[in-house]
Amino acid sequence: MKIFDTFYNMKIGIVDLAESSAEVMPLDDQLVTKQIGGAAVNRELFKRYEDENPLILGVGPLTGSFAPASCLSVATFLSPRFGNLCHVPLHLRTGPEMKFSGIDFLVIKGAASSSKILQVDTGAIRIVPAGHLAGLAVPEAVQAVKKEISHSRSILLTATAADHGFSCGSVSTGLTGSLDKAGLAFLMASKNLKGIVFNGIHGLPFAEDNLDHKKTMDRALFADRVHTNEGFFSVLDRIGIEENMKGIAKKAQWHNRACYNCPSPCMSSVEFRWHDPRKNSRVKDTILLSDHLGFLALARKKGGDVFPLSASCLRFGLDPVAVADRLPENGSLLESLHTIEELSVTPEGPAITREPHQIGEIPGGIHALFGGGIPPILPGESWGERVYLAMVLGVCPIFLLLYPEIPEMDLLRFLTKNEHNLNELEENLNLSRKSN
Amino acid sequence: MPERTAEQDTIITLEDLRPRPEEKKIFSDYFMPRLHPGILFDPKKCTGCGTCEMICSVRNVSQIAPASSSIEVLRDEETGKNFAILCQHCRKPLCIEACPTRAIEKGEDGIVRINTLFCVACGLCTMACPEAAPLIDPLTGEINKCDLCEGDPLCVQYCPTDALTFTKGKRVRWIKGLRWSVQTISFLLLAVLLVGTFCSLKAGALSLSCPTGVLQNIASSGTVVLVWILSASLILGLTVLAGRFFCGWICPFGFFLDLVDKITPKKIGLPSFLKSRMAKYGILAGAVGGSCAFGFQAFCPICPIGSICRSYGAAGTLNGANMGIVAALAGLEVTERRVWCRYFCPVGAILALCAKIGLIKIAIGANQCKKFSCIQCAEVCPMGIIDADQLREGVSPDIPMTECITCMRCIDRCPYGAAKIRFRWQKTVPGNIEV
Repeated sequence: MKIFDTFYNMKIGIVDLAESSAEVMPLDDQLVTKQIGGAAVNRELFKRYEDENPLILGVGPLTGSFAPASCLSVATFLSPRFGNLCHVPLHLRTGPEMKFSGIDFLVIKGAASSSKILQVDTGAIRIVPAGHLAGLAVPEAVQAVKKEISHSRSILLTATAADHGFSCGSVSTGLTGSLDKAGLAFLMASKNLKGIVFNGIHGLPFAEDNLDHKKTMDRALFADRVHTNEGFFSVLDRIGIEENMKGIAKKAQWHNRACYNCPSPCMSSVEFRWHDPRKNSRVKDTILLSDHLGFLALARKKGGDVFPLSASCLRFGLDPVAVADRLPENGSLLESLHTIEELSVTPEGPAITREPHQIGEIPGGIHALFGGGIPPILPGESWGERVYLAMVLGVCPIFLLLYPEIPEMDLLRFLTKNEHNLNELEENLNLSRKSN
Repeated sequence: MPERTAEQDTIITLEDLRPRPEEKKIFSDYFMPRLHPGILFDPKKCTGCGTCEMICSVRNVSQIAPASSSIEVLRDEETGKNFAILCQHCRKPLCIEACPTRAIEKGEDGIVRINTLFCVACGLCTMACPEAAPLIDPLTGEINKCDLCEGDPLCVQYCPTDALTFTKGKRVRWIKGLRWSVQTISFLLLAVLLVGTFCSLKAGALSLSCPTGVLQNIASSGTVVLVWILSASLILGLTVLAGRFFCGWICPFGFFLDLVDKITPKKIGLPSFLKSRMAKYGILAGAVGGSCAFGFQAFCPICPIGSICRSYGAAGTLNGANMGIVAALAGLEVTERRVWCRYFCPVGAILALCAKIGLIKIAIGANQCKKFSCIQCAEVCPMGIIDADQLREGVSPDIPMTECITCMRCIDRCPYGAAKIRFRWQKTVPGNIEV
């Protein structure tokens, strides 16, 4: 099946940090034919370079395409937190920018002797020294990267926590944080990889009828224009949160934000005012909330203080779920803020705990394509075929979870309209049921 | 014009090859202006998904390449705000002026296009554009500029949150025709048919008076007569209901100033020390104080409104003294538009006080406005109270109703329906923005 050629640049980047070398090679046709893309191809590449503790970044065939919410790239690595293979979904614009920068998969081997940044631009990879950025908080680091690397459309960075060796650090996409709950930031920091910068200015061909297919899908899904008014708090509502949590949203003003080509925003940029006990003054802050699970964990623990605590976690690049576990039960906001600051500079190696509820497990089916696990994305029942499909195709798993009415076949039709190819694809993906 | 030398005659200039099209204004343009289509952007609805960029690039380069689109969404992560850079198809496009090869043209349909045959991708249009809307393709270095997809923009079709809307602009300016008609009829009634009746009119039980005259009467006589107050209440009541409608639609001197403005379109500017909108209140206080001191209506003899109403004599002759006052004050019109009404008119001062508690206001929604590329509302406002800078910044301007003469020029002129009349208590401006 040669249907994927137009969906990929058919280029793979191999970076050896230890040797400080980077090369871009043609992608093996067979790899995407058999594994299709995303987490599945990542896993195959991981197996090839397993001895060198690789970090694999990859996109799916639909990443950057007309398919709704085609924003996803996947980072695959041996999770320092859970001790097995993990796939972390990277949202916002990381996936499309990676694809439009000219490469589809990136294998990062070894560890650098000093802090480095990878710059992927027009199909070439450069290794840039970043020693002076080590330990910086997210806003300062992002600002410095933007200043020093002029072409930076998407930035993936570690921050204070991971740089100081805290295993529950979380990688940050720009200022926005991420869904990294598997120690991606810790792994990057241990490789002395401060960040990866993509400058996606290339283009990809497309099939003319895909534009019509997109229009039909959009019309069917969003004819009532209700879904387009989603946002972070509406998603929490739809998931079903406790009654006392619902009032928290009212304490802030928010503006909904979406990842690349997503018609239904699940994130919100929140503006809130709070009394900063460290300065003893009232201040106004803005954060972009994208981690529903992290927000809920902090809200359940600290109630109304959730906004400043989330902001602090984002600033230092911390996983809010892990932070919530470590916050004092009845402590004041000041104590909580101090705890977060302390955590961000405390080296704490990974305590390998394989927690079944945190690692997705489905025997057989599409799962067999890539194995390993995915850290939790949404609270509650968030594991299933659709998440795995999303991770392979390069579509946002949250979007697919929130819209169960979208048939899997509708997504596959972006790849091919040929019935024979569709059936073959379905078989390759081991989808458990046939859908229309 | 200096004669061209033989050598010059042999040189073919850009002017010979691509002469600048002359802007011709025909009569119908005054009431049925040409369309100025454009795309309006609502930052509150924009989620930053970038679907517009993706779709636009498909048309530009036949590939999915958001970096090669003619629209760019700026996502400010710190403030959480989005802003779209896209061509506004300006009324007077600066890019056309800046283009050294005259590759940019504005069509009869109002769409500003780049003729790729002539474009050398120098980027001067990007520098000249207040929104930097002609975007330089980072891969090819060529200029990508919106051409509204020839009237049916794809970005608008595919925007999932309706943050982008396409507008063709408004065609008919009916308010202008109506206002000039009302002004003409009012002028003929007050200055020609019912000479002098603006100051005081008594027809049976009906009694109407100029409120400033009544105030001076009270001051000069030291007595308050209920009938006087009632006779002034019609115009005051009208002001509470409709703002300074009298000034914009009825006042014969205002109409005269509007006519003078038509023959003196270029203004020399008023010295800044005279530019105080509080001056009219001082003149009103002076008129009342003077009336009290001298025992007669001190301002009325020199009132330009009264003068114009009294100037046409019963025998068809013109009163020289009155006309002198009118001419002298109308002469101020060479400095600014409606300069008397803006700064000095004590009648306007009383009406301004009533308008302050009035029921209506003019609201301009910045989200529904094309900002840099238009600003026609600020240009046509005779009272100069619309802050163009606020509109450029995307802020809905605060329009003081004490100064607004409710002429509705802004409403009439705005091609995009951004200017509307609202009740005072309404908290939204067009575009559903809360202020």
